[in-house]
Parts: sequence; C-alpha cells; structure tokens
Amino acid sequence: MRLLVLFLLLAAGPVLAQDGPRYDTDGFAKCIADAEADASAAPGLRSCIGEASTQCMATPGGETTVGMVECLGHEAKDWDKLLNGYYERALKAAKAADADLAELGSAAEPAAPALQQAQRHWIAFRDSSCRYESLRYQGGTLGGPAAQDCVLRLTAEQALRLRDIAEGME
Amino acid sequence: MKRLAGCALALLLAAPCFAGDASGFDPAAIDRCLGDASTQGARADCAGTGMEACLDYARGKYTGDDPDFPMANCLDASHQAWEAKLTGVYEAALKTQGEKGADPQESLRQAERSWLQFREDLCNQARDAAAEGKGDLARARCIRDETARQVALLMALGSAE
Repeated sequence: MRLLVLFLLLAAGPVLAQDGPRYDTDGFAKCIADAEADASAAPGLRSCIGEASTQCMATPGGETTVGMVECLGHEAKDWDKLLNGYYERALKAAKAADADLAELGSAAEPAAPALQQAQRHWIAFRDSSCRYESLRYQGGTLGGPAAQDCVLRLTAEQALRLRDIAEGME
Repeated sequence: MKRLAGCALALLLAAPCFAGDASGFDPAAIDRCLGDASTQGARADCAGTGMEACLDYARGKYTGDDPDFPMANCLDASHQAWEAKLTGVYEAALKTQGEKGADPQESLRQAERSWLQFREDLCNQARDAAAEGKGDLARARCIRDETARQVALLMALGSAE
C-alpha cells in the first residue's frame, strides 16, 4: 500500500509541476469583447486591466513568486497583442491620411512618422519605468512580480491610448 | 509670458482682463480626489477634477469673444496644479531612492526623462490629429491628462514603501 502511494506520488509529480497557476486567456478576451460591445468602451476596457492576472494568482500555485510572474506575464502578453493590433490600425489610418494630404499638396506634419516616434519613446519610457520598479526592490523577491506588473499596466494603458488614436483617425 | 503681455495690453486698453487668472482653480480639489482614490486608475481619473468650478468661474468673468478661452485657461491652471503635484511625488521618490543608492535613483531620473519625451510626442500627435482650430486645446488636455497619469503611476510605484 505504502509503495503504491509512493508510486502514485512519483507519477503525479511531474504532472503537478507542469500545472502551475491557471491563466484564462479566454476570460481576458471576453472582458475585452464585453467592454467593446458597450458604446462607451473605455471605462470597461480599463476595468479589465489586472483582472485576468488577479484571477490567475488566486489559482493553486499562483500565489508564489514564480506563479505571480507567470500570471502577470500572461496578461501582459495579452495586452501586448491588443496593443500591436491597435498600433497597426492607427498607423494604417495615419498613412492613409498622410497620403491624402500629400495629394492635396499640404504642408501639414505627417502623422505616421510622429506616431512611430511616439511608440519608440513609449518603449523607452516603459523599459526605464519598469527597470526602476525592479531596482527599487534591490534583490528582493518582489522585483520579479513588481516589474512584471509594471509592464502589464503600462502596456495596457498604451494599448488603450493607441485604441483612442486609431478610433479618432478612422 | 505671452499671456501676461496680452493681459497687460488688455489692462491698458481698459478691456476686461482674465488672462492667466488661475484663481478659479482650486488645487486642493486634486488632493481631495487623490485622497479618496485607492487605485492607480482611480487616481488617474482625478485628472479633470476641479475643472467644472474653474470653468464656471472663468465663464462668469471672461467677457472676451474667444469661446475656447475659459477652457484653455482652466486646462492651463489644472496642468500647473498637476505639474506641482508631480514634482512633489517625483522629488519624494528621488529622495527615498537616493538613500538606497545611485542605481535606483538614476533609473528613476531616466524614467522621468523618457516619460517627458513620450508625453511630448503623444500630445503633439493629439494636436495634429485634432479638428481645425482645436489643436492647442487638444494638446493642453493631453499634457494635463498625461501628467495626472504619471502622478498616479509614480504613486503606484512608490506604494510598497
């Protein structure tokens, strides 16, 4: 009997190790889709920030440092995908507007290079802010989750800024 | 400076002068809003706090014919109040980090520098994308909102101390 228990534990070991916290990427997508269905989407979209990772951190293994970094990283990645989509939309609209203006012989500042520069500077802003966030903890184990949380929040905010820009241009 | 000069000129012409008068804006409203807010998002949402009272005051006092003037004046006053708030939060964080060592302090300075660059780009973009004649207001609103957002961020980054 004891042997059997030992065997089961050994067999179950690797499976448990692979499990980790559960991140619900469909739940994230649903939060976004529900918010987008509303006429004034912005407040709903902002309330999605941190939701999926918080739920993930409440699942078994999500409360450890490694689990927290994993959960926050998953949500940061989901926001990053959204950000890229909004950025592409905004850039496409900006390029179309620039082409129209060029045809009219306008001397107005072109929008697309300005948008690209803003995005480059945003990346520098994100990196330096979250580097500061990790250095603040100086080797403490919170450095990981805190910096990952910083990336998540800044990425989400920028995704929503770019969404506004895209909506304003289209 | 330009506004002050315009104001002086208006005084000379004995015309009603309101330019640069921030007395319609109460910076303490921002502190009250921040005090009631418990999350980073809620603090960033304090951006427009105090604007309504300022606009009421400005519309009551301003007798000129620029319909955008009260808004421009209040956005400016609101931005100045947020800028003062940001300076306070930033200086406090620099001091705390300075006690820990050069690295975190320098990284905070770097973060502020890159934020300023980003804000400039973003708000110039907002100006350029705005409807004809509304560019300056759009830029002023963007600068004010992003400054409030940065206060909220620095408060969140400092929250574990």
